[in-house]
Amino acid sequence: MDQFNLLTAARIFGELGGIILIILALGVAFATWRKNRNPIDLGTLFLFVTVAVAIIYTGVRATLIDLNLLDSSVFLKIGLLDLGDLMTVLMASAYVWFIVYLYQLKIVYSLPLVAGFFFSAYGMLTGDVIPILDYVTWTMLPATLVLFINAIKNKQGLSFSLAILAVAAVLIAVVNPASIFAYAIKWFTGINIILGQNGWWDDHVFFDRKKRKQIQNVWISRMTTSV
Amino acid sequence: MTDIQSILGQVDSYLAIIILPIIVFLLFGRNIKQYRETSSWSWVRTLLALAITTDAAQTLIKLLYRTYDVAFLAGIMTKDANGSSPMDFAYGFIVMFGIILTAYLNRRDEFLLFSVFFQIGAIIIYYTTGYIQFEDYFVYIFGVVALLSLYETGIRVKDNNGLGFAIFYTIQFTVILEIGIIGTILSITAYIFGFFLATGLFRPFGKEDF
Repeated sequence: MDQFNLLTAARIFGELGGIILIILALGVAFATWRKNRNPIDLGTLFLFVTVAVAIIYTGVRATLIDLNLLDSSVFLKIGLLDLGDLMTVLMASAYVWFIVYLYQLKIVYSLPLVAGFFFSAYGMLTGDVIPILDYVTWTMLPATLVLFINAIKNKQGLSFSLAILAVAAVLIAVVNPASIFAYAIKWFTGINIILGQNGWWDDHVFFDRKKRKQIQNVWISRMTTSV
Repeated sequence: MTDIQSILGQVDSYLAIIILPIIVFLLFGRNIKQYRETSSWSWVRTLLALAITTDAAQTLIKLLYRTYDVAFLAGIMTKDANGSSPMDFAYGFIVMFGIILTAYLNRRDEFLLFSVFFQIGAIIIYYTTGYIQFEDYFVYIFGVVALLSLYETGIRVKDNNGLGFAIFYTIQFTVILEIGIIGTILSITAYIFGFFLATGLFRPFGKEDF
């Protein structure tokens, strides 16, 4: 009995930790958007909102089920579509938007918006999630690859953070939701967003060694000449 | 009253059969002529021609089906249990061209294909779920948006075709509301106005524009 309570407490701790971290991350993303006011920060904020809603929804639901306050067959649905699935569609659409924005394909800027709307509508009307899974797979997979390549090629921390987030989203979908891996991924998702928005990846992983060396050399030469 | 209405209805039908193809040929003809002379394509006139072609096609199909009961048109004319048929998408296509024209005249590239994507989505949803309401909302909401912005843009950039398109479809839009004899008179007015528009005689801003 004690062991069961400990396990339940650990699960609740895992879920709540994920929720708190994602709310913190959302705060950081919102502050960044308010500071810069550029479209990419707005797109990022939208993506993080969908991730946050999905994590909060699954977290609260799992916690309520653990506390025997909710039956496991109960889902929060919009039409016939589960809220988590709706957020997944919106997340995939946000990734498509990042790619079209990255390549400046102005003519198809509205495609992710319309595609997301109709895939959600189809899910809400029929409850069929197969087309949604196809859409998510065939949009997030190439988007993740493009973002990884862009991050490495152009040394962009935010691209790396978004690519990691996509991988985390896929992992959350495939691992056992009650396992320690699921909690670890949820915690890491929040931390990853905070690191990406604060520029930690830019400063510590993607810094330009050559440029840094050049700057150091300039300073060293100035110091030695002044001496 | 019924006699007048039936006579006007017949005038409207024959006018549609005669004038709409003439309008389409005139618009495409003038476009080709301009291309030969200047080596540049008028997208405004092309979009106008495409919208009126769609309008002409749906009017003629409806006439053929209702008047002569052409059997092979039953597939697209027969209404389903919800009272909708694939012909309902014709208005959506006209609105689609209107939205593209608005985006083009305002140089808003990000909205250029919005209506195309939406129309494709609405058609896919209709054929997979039978739900046509998205198309209805699209026609009414974006139809009004397209008309208002075409008036605004037509007057602002002094574009004869843009403004003409707006006036033509304002008259057509009232026809959709099916208001009896007045609707028939408006429909006849629209065809006559469309003829003036296609011949290039509608020039409230004076010069001929592209």
